[in-house]
Amino acid sequence: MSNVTMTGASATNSTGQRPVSRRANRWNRRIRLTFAGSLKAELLKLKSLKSTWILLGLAAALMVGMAALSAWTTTFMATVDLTTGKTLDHPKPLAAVDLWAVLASSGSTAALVIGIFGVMAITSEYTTSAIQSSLTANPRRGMFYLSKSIAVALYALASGIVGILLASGVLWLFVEGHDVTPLTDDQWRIIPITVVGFPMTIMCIALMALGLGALTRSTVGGISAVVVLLMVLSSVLAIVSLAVSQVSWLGTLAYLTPDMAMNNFLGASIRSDAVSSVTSQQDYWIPEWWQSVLILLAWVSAAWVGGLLVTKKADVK
Amino acid sequence: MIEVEGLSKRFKTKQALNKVTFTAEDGKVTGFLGPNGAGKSTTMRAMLGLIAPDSGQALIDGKPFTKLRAPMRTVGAVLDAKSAHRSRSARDHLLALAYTNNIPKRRVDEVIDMTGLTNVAKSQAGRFSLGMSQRLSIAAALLGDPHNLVLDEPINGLDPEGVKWVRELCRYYAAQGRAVLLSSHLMSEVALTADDLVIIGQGHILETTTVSKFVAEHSTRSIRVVTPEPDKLRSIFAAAQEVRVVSDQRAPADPPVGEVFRIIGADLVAAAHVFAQAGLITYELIEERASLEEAYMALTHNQVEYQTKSAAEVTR
Repeated sequence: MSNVTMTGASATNSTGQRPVSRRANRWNRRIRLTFAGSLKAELLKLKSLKSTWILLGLAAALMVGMAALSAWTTTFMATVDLTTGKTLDHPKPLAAVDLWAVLASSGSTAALVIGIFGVMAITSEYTTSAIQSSLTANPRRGMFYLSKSIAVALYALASGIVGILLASGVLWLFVEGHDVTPLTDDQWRIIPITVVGFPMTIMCIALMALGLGALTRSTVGGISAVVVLLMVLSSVLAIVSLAVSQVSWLGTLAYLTPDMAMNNFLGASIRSDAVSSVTSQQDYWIPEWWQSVLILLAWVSAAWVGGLLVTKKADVK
Repeated sequence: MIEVEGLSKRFKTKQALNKVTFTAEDGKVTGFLGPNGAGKSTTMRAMLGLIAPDSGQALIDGKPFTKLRAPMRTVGAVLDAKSAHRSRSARDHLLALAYTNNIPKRRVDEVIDMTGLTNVAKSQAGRFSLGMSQRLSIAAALLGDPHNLVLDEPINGLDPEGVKWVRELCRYYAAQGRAVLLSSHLMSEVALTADDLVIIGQGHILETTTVSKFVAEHSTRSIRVVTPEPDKLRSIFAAAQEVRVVSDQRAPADPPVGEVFRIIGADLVAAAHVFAQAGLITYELIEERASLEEAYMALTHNQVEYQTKSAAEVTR
């Protein structure tokens, strides 16, 4: 039993009769709960799960796949005469804005996978009772939630960056040999929106999903909420607004959903043939790209803060 | 030292804790005893900030758990055998916990070694047997070399060697002047390990005492005799009104011949002298105590009866 404990730790007891070795003292003083430690722990927790790598890899692969698919469509269209259907001798030049739009829109399917990643990052703690050991090691629940959020955000961001880089590579392979017309003056914003906005959007979706996971504390509940917010809601609203033409403002409502906000932001409010669009002749209000960012951020903050409140207050049984 | 003061907690339909008050002192193993559903786990969870009590508080070394600077340095807790993510390796699980409190890496390897998990440290925790998971939970509790141990039924699923190890661990920590709170639903286990005793039933503290006091108060002595001369035995005690002689079931340890009796209310030494003088042949003569388990069952059973009675009084 001599190896049960390694230090003269009982020196801190009320009687104080035991001498403390210098080494033990140094060891003791360093041990305390810190935010940096908590963040390091959350980063390791994600790194040590196979599901993290599968989901993030799948998300990046979907981004690349989607980019490849629309890049192929775009370049194919350029080689065909759209009125006769015959192959052209000299392909039409590609518009740079279309190519950027291909990149920017490649994340909408991946967003769902990132959402599942965000939900599971927190609900797996509850389903495996690991939350008990996590919260006895770090009883400051706000700190626990914040460090988990930062870890999830960093992983999602990395996946978004890797995804967009690989997607650009694939796009470049398709475009090689084609003439490209440059961006016009009012289209330049699609570059920062794609390069910076795309990975940030992926990160925001992960944080929203984490919040939904923390709110429901159940994997099924969290993923259902993500699917409803990212797929079902906007489709239902869009279909209803088409069917019931008198209440076309439902179409505006559809633009308030997280996935439409995300796509509208990444579309940068630029008309482009590469991104399918039915927005041209609508009589209802459609938000600008920057308004869509605010809408998306509102969703993310609402879900995240809701998750924070539940994490802080709810009993862990 | 762990001080629990007037903890109450109501879940939707059930009053889980009702003004639970007790202290687990430094240098002692405090046994926390109660049947399943009595409120042991709820009390421990409230102590560790996992459950917010409706009223009352728990202080660990004078502070609420959530306010501690180094929670793992102050308290090591085993709340559940399964407390690790199923797909994470045992070592990564411990390492992540250690990181939060800035516990050095080598301490992780030390606790893995101590708990006998060295060979499975890289395996996923979900593949562990109940006993292995329990060892992993104990390893996590020991990471911070804590001044207080809170163990919720730590021997569940452990093999005899593991049970003995946990018992020695508790004694060792207490001997070092630390506080150990050990919950169990088995009186026999607690009697072997604990100094102090806190008995809980239906969310009420039924008794706070020491193990030796409880043993002295609740166990009646009796003498077990196996003899081929039952009539002679009965006639010896026929005159003594305070002594009862009853036949008993033959236990596997008893000799296979003769009749088995239990004598209640007689002194062992006096009885042995009388038997010798009367020339009674005995194959077995042992002093026994009624099992502590029975005394404890009677106590918690009474609590149930008391509850229903008081409810009836209220409605009257």
